[in-house]
Amino acid sequence: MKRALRWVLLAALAPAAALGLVLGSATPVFAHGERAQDAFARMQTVGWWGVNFSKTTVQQGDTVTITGTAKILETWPNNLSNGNPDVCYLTVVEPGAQFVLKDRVINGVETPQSFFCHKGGIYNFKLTLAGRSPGTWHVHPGLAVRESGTIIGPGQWIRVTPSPTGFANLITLLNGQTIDLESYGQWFVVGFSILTFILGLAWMIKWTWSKPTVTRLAVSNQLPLNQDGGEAVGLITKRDHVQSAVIAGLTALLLVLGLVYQQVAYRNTLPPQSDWIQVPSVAPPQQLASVQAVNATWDGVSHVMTLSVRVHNTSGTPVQVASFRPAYLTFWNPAVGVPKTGPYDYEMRLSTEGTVAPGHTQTINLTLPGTVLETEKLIPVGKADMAIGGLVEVRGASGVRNFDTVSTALNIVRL
Amino acid sequence: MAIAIPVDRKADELRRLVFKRYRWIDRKWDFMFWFTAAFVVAAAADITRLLFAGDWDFWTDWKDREWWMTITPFATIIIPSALQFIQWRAWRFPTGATYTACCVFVAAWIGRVVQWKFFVNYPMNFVWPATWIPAGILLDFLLLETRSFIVVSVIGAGLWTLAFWVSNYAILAPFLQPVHFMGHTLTVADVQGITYIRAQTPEYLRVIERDSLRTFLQETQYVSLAFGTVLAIFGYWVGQFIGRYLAVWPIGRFLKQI
Amino acid sequence: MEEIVQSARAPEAVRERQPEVYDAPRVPGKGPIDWMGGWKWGLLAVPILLGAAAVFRVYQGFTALSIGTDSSTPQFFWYYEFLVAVEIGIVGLFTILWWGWIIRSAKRLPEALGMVISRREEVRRIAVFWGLVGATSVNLYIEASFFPNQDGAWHQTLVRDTAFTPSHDPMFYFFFPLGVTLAIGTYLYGRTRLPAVYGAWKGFPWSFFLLIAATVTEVAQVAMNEWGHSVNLGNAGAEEFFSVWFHWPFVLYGWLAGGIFALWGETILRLYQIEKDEEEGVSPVEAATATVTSR
Repeated sequence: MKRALRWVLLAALAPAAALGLVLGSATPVFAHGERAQDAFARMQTVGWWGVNFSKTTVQQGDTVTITGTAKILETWPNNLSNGNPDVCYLTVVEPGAQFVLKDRVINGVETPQSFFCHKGGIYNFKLTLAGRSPGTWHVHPGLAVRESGTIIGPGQWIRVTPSPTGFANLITLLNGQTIDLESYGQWFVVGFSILTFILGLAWMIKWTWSKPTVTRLAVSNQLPLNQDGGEAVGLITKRDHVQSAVIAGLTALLLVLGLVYQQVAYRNTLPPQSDWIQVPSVAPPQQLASVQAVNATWDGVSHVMTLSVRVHNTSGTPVQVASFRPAYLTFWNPAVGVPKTGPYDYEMRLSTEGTVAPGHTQTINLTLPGTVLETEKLIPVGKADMAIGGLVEVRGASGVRNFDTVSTALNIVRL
Repeated sequence: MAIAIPVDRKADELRRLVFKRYRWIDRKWDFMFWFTAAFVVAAAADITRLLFAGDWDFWTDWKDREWWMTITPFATIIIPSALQFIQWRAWRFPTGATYTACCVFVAAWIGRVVQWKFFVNYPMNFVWPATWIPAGILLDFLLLETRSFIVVSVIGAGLWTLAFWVSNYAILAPFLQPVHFMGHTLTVADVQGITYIRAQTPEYLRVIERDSLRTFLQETQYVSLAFGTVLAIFGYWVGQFIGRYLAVWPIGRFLKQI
Repeated sequence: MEEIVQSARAPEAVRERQPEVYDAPRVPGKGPIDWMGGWKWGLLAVPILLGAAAVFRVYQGFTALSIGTDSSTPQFFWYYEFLVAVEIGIVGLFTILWWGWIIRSAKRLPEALGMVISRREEVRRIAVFWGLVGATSVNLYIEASFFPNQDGAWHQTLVRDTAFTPSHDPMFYFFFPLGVTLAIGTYLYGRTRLPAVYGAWKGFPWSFFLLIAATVTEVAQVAMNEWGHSVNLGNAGAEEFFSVWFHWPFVLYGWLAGGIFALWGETILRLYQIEKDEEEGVSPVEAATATVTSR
C-alpha cells in the first residue's frame, strides 16, 4: 500500500511541478481568434472606422465608451447568411464577462437587443461598458450577423482597477425596487434548489439505507415485471408506501407553495422579450469619388501586397486617398498623417501622393507591408477564396470622408 | 392488478431470500454500486440535457414560454426513464428518476459553478441549472403505486412536465419582472443577457417565443406544456429502450463473432 | 467455512490428480471485500481521475483567458497545441503499460499454471473489477459532464478559432481516449481474471461491446464535431448553438454506455453462484469443472 501511495503521490506532484514551471512563463495575448477567421470573411464582410476607446483604465463600476462605425460591405460573401445579412447584434468581444454593457446606441437610437441590418448598411455605434473584474483585458467591438457569426473589430487593452466597494450592477424594476444583478434572486435559486435536493436525498435514503440493494436482484429476477410481491414477499411493504407517500406529498406541497409564492410575490411578469428594432439609416455624406479595385498582387518573396485602385473624382474639389482598411486594420497614406501606430494602424506607400483633381480619374497603386498582413493572416494565399477587399477612404478638402468598398482577386506574383 | 401466486410457499421462499445474509455480499457492494453508478448516470443525464436542450438550461433569458418547456421535458426524461426501468427491474426500487435527478443536480451545479462562474465569470443567478428532483420523485412515486411503465409513460410524462415547469418557474419568476432598460421595457432576464456580454451568443441566437400571428393569445405556455408532455412520452420510451435493450438485455449475452 | 489450499494427493489407487486451489494471501484489513483489500483500486481511481481533471482545470484557469483566446500565437502552440501531443502521449503510454501488464501477467495467473482459484479470490477479483468499472464511470462523468459544461461556457463566450481550444484539449484529447483505454482495459481484466463470467470461450460480451462502442464512437464523433463547426453546413456551424444537430451523436453514442449496467448485473449473478456454491459446500474444483462443462 505504501508503495502504491508513493507512486500516486509522485504522479500527483509531477504534474503540479510541471504546472508551476509552465504557468510562470505565461504572457497574455490580445487577439481573440479573429486571425483564424478566413481572410475573405474578414475583409469582405464588415469594415470599421473611427473606433475609439474613451479610456484605457477604469475603476470597477466606472464606465468606458467605445464609439465607431461598422459597415456591412457590399461585397458580403454569398456563402455567409445566404448572401443576405438580415439580423445583427452589436456586441463586445472580451475574455469572459469582465465588463458589463450599460448602454448601446446605434445610429442615434437605443438598441438593447438585435436589429435588422442589410448589405451596405452603416452603423454608427456607441457602447458604454462598466468595468467589472479587476485585471487587464483586451476588448473589441464586434458585429454578430445571423447565420454568419461574429466579425471582430479593432481592440484595445483596458485595465480595470479594484474599487474599495467592489462591483454592483444596479437596475431599477418597474415597481421601483432597485436590485443588484450580480446577486439578485441568487439565494432563492440556491435555497429552493437545495430544498429539492434534500427531498431527493430523503427519497433515496429511505429506499437504500435500511434495505440492501445488490441482493434484491435474486428476488426481483423471480417476479414478473409489474409485480413487487407485496407484503408477503417484503421487497416493498406498506410502510414503504406510506413513507414514500409522505415524501411525495411534501414534494407536491413544495411545488404548490412555490407556485403560490410566485403568483403572489411576482404577479406581474413578462415573457422574455424579443425587441428587435429597425435602426434609422444614416444619411450618406456627399459623394466625392467612386473607387474601384483594379488589381491586387502578392509577392511572397519580398512580402509585399500591391492594390491598384481607380479613383474617379466626381466632386468639384480635389480629393485624396487617405487610407485603406482591410478588416480591422488601417493602412494610412503618410501624406495625411498616421494618427497612431500599431497594432491596428500602419503606413502604406502610394504610387502618387494620392490626390485626384476634380473630374479626373487616376489609378493609384497602394503598397502594403506584407508582414503585417501575414501576421494577421490576411493574405489569403492557399485558401479557397483568394480575394482581398476593404474600404478605401477618400477625403475632400472640406473634410468630408467617403468610405468606398473595394474587392478584387489576389494574383500571386511569387510564392 | 396482482396475479395471485398460487403457492404461498413461493412467497415464503422469496421472503427468505429478501432477508438472507450472505457470506461475501455485504453492504459495501451496495455502496460501491450506488457511488460509482452515480458518475455514469450523471454523465448520461447531463450530456443528454446539455446537447438537446442545453442553451435553454444555461441562461435565464432563454427560459421562455414556448420552446423551453417544449424541448426540455423530452431531453430530461430520457435517462430517468432508463434508470427507472433498470432499478425497478433489478432491485424493485422505485428510485431511478430521483437517483438520476439527484446525480445530475450535483453534476450540474459543479459544472455551473466551476466552469460558468469561475472560468468565464458569469454570475450564478444568470446560469443556474434547472432542478428535476421534484419531477423525479413524483415519477418514481407513480411507478411505485402503479407498477406499470405504460401508465407512468402517459400520466408520468405529464406529471414530469408539469412538475418540472412549476418547480423551475418558481425560481425563474423573479427574473421575469419588468424593467426599463435602455429606454425599452424588458425583463430582468433580458437585461442579464444584455449586460453580461456573451460574445459568441448574440441575442438573436435565442430560440424563444417571437410573436407571430398564431400565438393563441396567452395560451402559448399551455400549448407548449401540452406538446412538451407528448414529446416527453416519446422521450420516456426512448429511455425505456436504453434501459431495456442497452442496459439489461446484454446481461449474460455474448457475440460469437465480431 | 475456510478455504483450504491443498493439493489433492491421490492414493496409490488410480485417481486423476486434482488441481491445486489458489487462495489470495490473508492480510488483516486487506481481504477481498475490505476497503483496503479488493476495493482499494476502486476507491483510489476516483481521486486520481478527479485529480487529473482538477489539474487540467487549474492549468486552464491560469492560461486560458490570457493565452487560449488566440490560436495564431506561438504561446498558444506551446500551451495548448503541444499539450495535445503530451496528453495523447500520456494516455498512449498508460494504455500500453496497463494493457500490457494485464495481458502479460495473465500468463502467470494461477489458472494459467493449472490451478483453480478459491471463491475468496474470485470475490476479490470481482471487487477489483467493480473498481475498474467505477473508474470508467468516473471518466465518463469527466468527459460527458464536467468538461462539456466548460465547453459550452468557453465557446458561447469566446471565438472558436481552432479544434484545439482550451476546453477541447482535456476533454477530447485526454479523457475521451482515456475512456477507451479504461473500457477495453476493464474488458481485458474481465476476460483474463473472471473467466467464469467473461472467459474467451464464451464469445465477446454484449455488455462490453456496447460500453467500448460508446467510448470509441465518442472519439470518432470529435471529427464530425469539428467538421460541423468548420463547414458551416446550412449555416449551423457558424453560430454557437449548443443544441446544434451535429452535437446530437455525442448523446446517442453516450447512451450505448448503458451497457455498463450489464457489467454490474453479470458479476452480481456470478456472486450469487459463488454464494450458492459456498452454501452447498461445492469445492472450487467442482465449481470450476461445472463451469467448464457448461460451455
